[in-house]
Amino acid sequence: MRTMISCLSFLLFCLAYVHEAEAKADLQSILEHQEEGATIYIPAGIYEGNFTISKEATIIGDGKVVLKPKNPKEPVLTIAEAKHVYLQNVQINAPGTGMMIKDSHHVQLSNLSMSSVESGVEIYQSQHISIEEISVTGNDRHFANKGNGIAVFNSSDIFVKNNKIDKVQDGIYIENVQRITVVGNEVENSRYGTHFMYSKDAEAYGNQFRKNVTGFMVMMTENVDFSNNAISYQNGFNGTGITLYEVKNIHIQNHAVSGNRVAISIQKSTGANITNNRFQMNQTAIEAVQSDTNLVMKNVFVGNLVNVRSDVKGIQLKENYFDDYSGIDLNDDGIGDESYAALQSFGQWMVRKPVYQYYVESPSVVLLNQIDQQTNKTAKQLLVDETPATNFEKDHAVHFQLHWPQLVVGWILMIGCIMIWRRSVIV
Amino acid sequence: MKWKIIAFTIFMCFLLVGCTEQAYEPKEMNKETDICKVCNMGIAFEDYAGQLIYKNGDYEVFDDLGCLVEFLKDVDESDVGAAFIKSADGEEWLSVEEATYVYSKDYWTPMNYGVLAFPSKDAAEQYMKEHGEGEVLSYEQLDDFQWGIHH
Repeated sequence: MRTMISCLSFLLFCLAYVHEAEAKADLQSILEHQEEGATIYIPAGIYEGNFTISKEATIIGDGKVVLKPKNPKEPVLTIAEAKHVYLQNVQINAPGTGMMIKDSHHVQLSNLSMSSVESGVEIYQSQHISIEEISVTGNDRHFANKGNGIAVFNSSDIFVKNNKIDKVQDGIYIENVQRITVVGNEVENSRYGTHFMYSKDAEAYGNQFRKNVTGFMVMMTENVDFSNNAISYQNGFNGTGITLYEVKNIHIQNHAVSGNRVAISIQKSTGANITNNRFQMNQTAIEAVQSDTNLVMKNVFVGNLVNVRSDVKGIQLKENYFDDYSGIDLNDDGIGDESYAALQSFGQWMVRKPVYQYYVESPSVVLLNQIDQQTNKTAKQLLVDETPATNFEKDHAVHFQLHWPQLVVGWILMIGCIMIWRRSVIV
Repeated sequence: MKWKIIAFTIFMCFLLVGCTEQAYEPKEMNKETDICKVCNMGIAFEDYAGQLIYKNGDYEVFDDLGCLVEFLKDVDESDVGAAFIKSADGEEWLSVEEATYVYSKDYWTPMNYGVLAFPSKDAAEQYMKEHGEGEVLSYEQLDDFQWGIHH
C-alpha cells in the first residue's frame, strides 16, 4: 500500500512538472503564433523568459501566473509595435525592469503585481495606454539606485488609476506627455509620488502620497489640474507636499496636505490657483521663491508653524482662514474686519536659509512674529490677506449614517446585559 | 647672522604660501540632504551633478549642468572660487571652464538638458563613437545654449 502511494505521488509530481515545463517552453511561441485578436488564458505556473507581445491580443493569467526573466537586464515582458493589447492577472518577479511598452497604442494593463523590481512599467512613444490596479514594490536600496514604478516618456492619452507603488525612485514619472490622468494611486516610501516633466494637459485627483521626499514634483509643465489628493508626512530635510518649478496654469484644489516640511513650494511659477485646500500641521504651508502672481484663496491654515512665506512677491492671499488670526467680525459676514498679515521676517529668512527651520518657535522668533503681526497690518502689497475668513466650517449640516452591524451588536449586548441583570435581581 | 637668514627664509616661505591662489576641492555629495539649488531636485544621479564653491567656503550643489550654468549667470563672479561638473563617466570632477561639452537630444541627464561634460575633446569624440553623435560645445557656448527639452 505504501509503495503504491509513493509511486502515485511520484507520477503526479512528474505530470505536474512536465505540464509546467511545456507551458514555459510554449508561452513565447503561443504569443508569436496566435491569431490577431485572440484571447489567451495562461495556466498557473512559473514561466521563465523575456517575452514579447507584438500582436493584438487579450492575455489573462488563469490562476497564479508568475513571469521571471531569463536575461535580467532585459524587461520580462515587452509590448512593442502592438495595438489593442489587454493584459491582466499576471505577477512579475524581476531584479530589473518588469515591463516595457514601446511604439504601441490602446494597451490596457490591469491586476498586475511586480515585486522586488528595479523599475515597474516603462512606456515609450505610445498612445491610449491604461494602467489600472497594478502593484509595484521596489527594493530597500537608496532611491538613487532604483528605477520608477510607472514611467511614461513621449506619449499621449495615458490613464493611470488605482495603482499601489512602494519603495521606488518616483512612483509615477511623466516626461513629455500630453493628456494624462493620474487618479486614485497610492505611493509611499519613494522619492517623488508623481513627477511631471515637460508635460501638458494633466489632471491628478484622489491620489494618496505618504512618506516620500515630495508628493507631487511638477516641472516645466502646463495646464495641470490637481484636486482631492491627500498628501501627508513628506517631512524629511527636503520634504515637500507639492513642488512647482516653472509651471504655468495650474489649479490645486480640495486637498488635505498635512505633516509636511513644506506643503506647497512654488518656484519660478506664475498663475497658480490654490483654492479650498486644508493645510494642517505642516512646518511651512506655502512658500514662494522667485514667483509672481499666484492666487491663494479660501484655504484653511491650521496648526502650521509658518503659514505663508515668500522671498519677493509671489502670493496673493484672499479669504483664507488662519488659525492665528486674532481679528473680530462685527457684522458677522464671515470675513474679519482687520487684515491678516502673513508676512514674517523669519519666514523670509527661512526661504533663503533652510537651516533656520530649527529655530522656529524659539522665544526670540515668537517675539519677532508678534512684532511682524503688529507692524505689517498696514502693508498692503505683500502676504497680507485683507479679507481673512473667520470660520472654516463651510457645512454645518449634520450627516447621519447608520452602521447596521454596530447597531445590531449593540442591541444584542444591551438585551444580554438586561437579562443578566434581571436574573441576578431575581436570584 | 645664520639665524637671521633662517628666520628670513621661513618668513618668505609663509609669505609665498599666503600669496598662492587658494585651491578649491569639490566636496562629496550627500544623497540624503543635498538638493539642487536651482530646481530643488534631490541629487539622485551623482554622475551628472555639479557644484559651485564660493570663496568664503560655502557651496551650492546642482543636479544637472544646465542648472549650474543658469545659476552662474546670476551670481557675482568675484564671489565664486570654483565650479565643478562630473564627467560623463561619473569618475571625476571637472572644472566647468576647462571641460569639453557634448549636446545630443538623445543623451539623458536628470533635467533632460542632454549636455555631458568630458575632460578632453578626445574623450568627447570617443563617447560619441560609442553613444551616438552630438554637438561639441565649449564653456563659452553654454552661456547662449537653449536649455530645455529638445524632443
